[in-house]
Amino acid sequence: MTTNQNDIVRQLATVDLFARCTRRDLRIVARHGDRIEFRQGTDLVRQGDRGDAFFLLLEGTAEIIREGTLVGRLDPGAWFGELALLDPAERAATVTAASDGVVLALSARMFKVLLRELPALSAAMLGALARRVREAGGVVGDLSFLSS
Amino acid sequence: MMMRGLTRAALRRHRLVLAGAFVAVPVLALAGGPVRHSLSVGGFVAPQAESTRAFAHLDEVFATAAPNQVIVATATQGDVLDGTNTAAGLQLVGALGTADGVIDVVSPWTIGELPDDVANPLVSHEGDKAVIALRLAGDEDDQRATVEELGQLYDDQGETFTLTPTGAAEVSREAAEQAEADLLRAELIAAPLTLVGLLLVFRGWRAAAIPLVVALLTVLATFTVLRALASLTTVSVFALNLTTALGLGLSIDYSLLLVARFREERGAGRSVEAAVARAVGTAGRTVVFSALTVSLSLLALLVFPFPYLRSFAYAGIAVVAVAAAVTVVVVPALLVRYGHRLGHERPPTGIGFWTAQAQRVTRHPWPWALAVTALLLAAGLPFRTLAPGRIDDRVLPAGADARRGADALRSDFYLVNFTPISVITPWISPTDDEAVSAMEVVLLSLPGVHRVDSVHGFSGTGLSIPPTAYSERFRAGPGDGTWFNVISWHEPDSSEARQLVERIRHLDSRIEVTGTTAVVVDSVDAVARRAPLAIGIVAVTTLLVLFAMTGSLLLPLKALALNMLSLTATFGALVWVFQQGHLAGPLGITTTGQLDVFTPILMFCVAFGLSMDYEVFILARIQEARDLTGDDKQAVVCGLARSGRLVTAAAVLMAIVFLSIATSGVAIVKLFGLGLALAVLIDAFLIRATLMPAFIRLAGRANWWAPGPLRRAHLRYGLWETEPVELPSRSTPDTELDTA
Repeated sequence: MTTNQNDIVRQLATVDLFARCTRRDLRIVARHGDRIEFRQGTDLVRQGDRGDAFFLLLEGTAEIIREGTLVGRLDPGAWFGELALLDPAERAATVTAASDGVVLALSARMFKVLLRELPALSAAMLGALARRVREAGGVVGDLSFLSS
Repeated sequence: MMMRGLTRAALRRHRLVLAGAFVAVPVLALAGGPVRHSLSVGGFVAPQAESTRAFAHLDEVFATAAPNQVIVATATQGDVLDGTNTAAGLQLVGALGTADGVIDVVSPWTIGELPDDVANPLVSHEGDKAVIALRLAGDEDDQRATVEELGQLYDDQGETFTLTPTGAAEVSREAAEQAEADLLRAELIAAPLTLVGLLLVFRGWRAAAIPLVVALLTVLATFTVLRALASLTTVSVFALNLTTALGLGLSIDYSLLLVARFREERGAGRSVEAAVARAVGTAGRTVVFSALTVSLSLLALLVFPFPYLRSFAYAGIAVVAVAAAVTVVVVPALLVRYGHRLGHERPPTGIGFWTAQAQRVTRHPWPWALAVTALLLAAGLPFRTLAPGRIDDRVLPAGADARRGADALRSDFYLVNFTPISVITPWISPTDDEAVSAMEVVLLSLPGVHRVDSVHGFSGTGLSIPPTAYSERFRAGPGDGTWFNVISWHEPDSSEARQLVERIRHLDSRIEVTGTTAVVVDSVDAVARRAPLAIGIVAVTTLLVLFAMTGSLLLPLKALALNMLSLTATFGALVWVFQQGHLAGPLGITTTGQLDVFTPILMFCVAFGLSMDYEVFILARIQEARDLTGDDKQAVVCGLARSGRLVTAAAVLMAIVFLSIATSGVAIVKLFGLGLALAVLIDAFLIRATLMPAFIRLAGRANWWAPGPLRRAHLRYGLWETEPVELPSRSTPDTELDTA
């Protein structure tokens, strides 16, 4: 394994999504990921594009922009791009680098292979998606309460 | 990582890569162009075989051996033993005897005194022809040089005799010359046909030119490698045929794969640079996997002790490695430079043949699988009667000198035989009359023995000729023993003659046997003894490489079984034609009732490698579709739809190249070309289009099964295609692939 991959494994070990993965799992993820360095202002994904990769922010920060409006901020350990792969559709938002940084990118194919082959990763992914649905449901519930 | 590095280099330094390729063409042409002058016409005998050692023994101790160059001298006027003709004959024999490289000459004028009631065996029935038998020194290449020198001498005899040379050295020389001339003709036939095919497949001259550029670099680079290798070891001139055919064929296959993927990615809306990167990450890796499997198949030829077979391994591995390297380095650079003019892959309109075929087969897999398997097994039935032998003059076209000379020997002479079984008995002194006579009696008592020549003269059925000058060859120095020439009724490569050699060898452990039949016996034995190891190497390496690629246990076994089935059918067809003689007339071949022992194993390794080529092409797309969709049935249809047209095109173009090779007048080259063309077509249309999808459909999820630890090992260490991820705001070559 290269030093690069060792670094990636160390970084992955600190990410919630991979908390239940073994070190061997992390090595597999590191092997199949592309480590991409980016500069501030780079679009990491662009709203409306076809989704063909999953991204994990290893270093730096990014902003989520939907229809020109800032809707969120991503810090190291955050991940994005999975929805367009799990349910093929256009990217729902643009993610732009707020600083220089590094992402680990998995192609659509490897993302699906790793979900299939690494149960700890797929369980964590399902859990995270469920949390997002719940949070989104809470927002909807709050909004309906306010409007009544 | 290596592929990404290559891609980056191709993108960033494409001008440098193209300039390097441009400069490489003349440099390689100068370095590799004269390769054939460095190659050997021989390599058909195993250096350590008993027959080879016995030949050397005869050469060194007795300064003779069975003749390897025979001249049929036809008198332009009168009987060859007439006074004028005898004088001219003696003059000719004197000139031959003093020529460089000639160590022994036997002729009707110098054979010595024969009894009045015994006809001179070296004179024809009609008396107008004489046989002059020469033993040429050295290996096949030395003999070829001597034969060419002697050609000048033959030309000077035009007034008295018409000379027709034949014999092993002459056959070897003429076969090599014919093969070289045929190679040029094959190239001239293949080039325009291939170009038309490429234009049809690539739909544009720029794209069609890419495989030709790859082929040119590949063939010239391989010639250079072979020339360098020839300075270290024996490399057969026949390896050039494989170099040209595989060089052109694989260049087409690999370029087609890469360019088709590039166009597909362009069709999906990607920039030229992004499309190149994805094409190299996917199809480029498939090319490397494929090259690995083809090379490993050819590597198995190295287990055989014959320089002839090993030469095909050197040439094959070199040509495959170079074709793959040129494809993943030069083609991406060409695509970056000219890719914007190559167009996109149009989305298929309607259902194509391969999609329809995949749907048919996956809907009713059992009937398709059973029908095609039965067809292939039926085609393979003649293979059960395979009778391996060695080539003789009948490997040449009917009009060839060596063939005409040998035909004259067969039809116009009585008692003449230049393919004796030479039996060396180092413990019998030529002066020990009792022991010599006893051995003569033992040899004559063996089934099929017609005559025994020894220091005592000529003995046989109803024949006893006292010693002549000729008989002195059976003597050497004190303590060197003597030797016998055993003449059989049977053809030298017949099974009866081979049994006779075995019987003679069993007479005494000190006996050394050589001669044409003994060489055949040793060759067949050596091939049969090493074939299981070669097949085992091919099988194991195939299983390992396909496991590394797919992570499956079943798919590699399936590939192995289907390849064996495909090759069985091909070999069956070849036995039917080349051994049993069906279609011999239209194909212009003369059958001997046997198939050259080297060709099946040679074809096995080459055809197996090419079959794996297509297996890898299709399996890569099926696996990609399966990884993305998780749907086994859909993955088969999708994988075949995406790769089928490509495999068809590649196979048809490859078959054109091999069929061009098959236009050769030399039977073994014809056998090789026709056999490989057949193997490629059977593989593409019956195996890949029908049996492979049927099997994958029937096996369902079991296709991809492997125990947990192996699955993890595959994920960790396996060979994977990787589509590089691109960031949307990076679109220039310098930044697009700034990945680590």
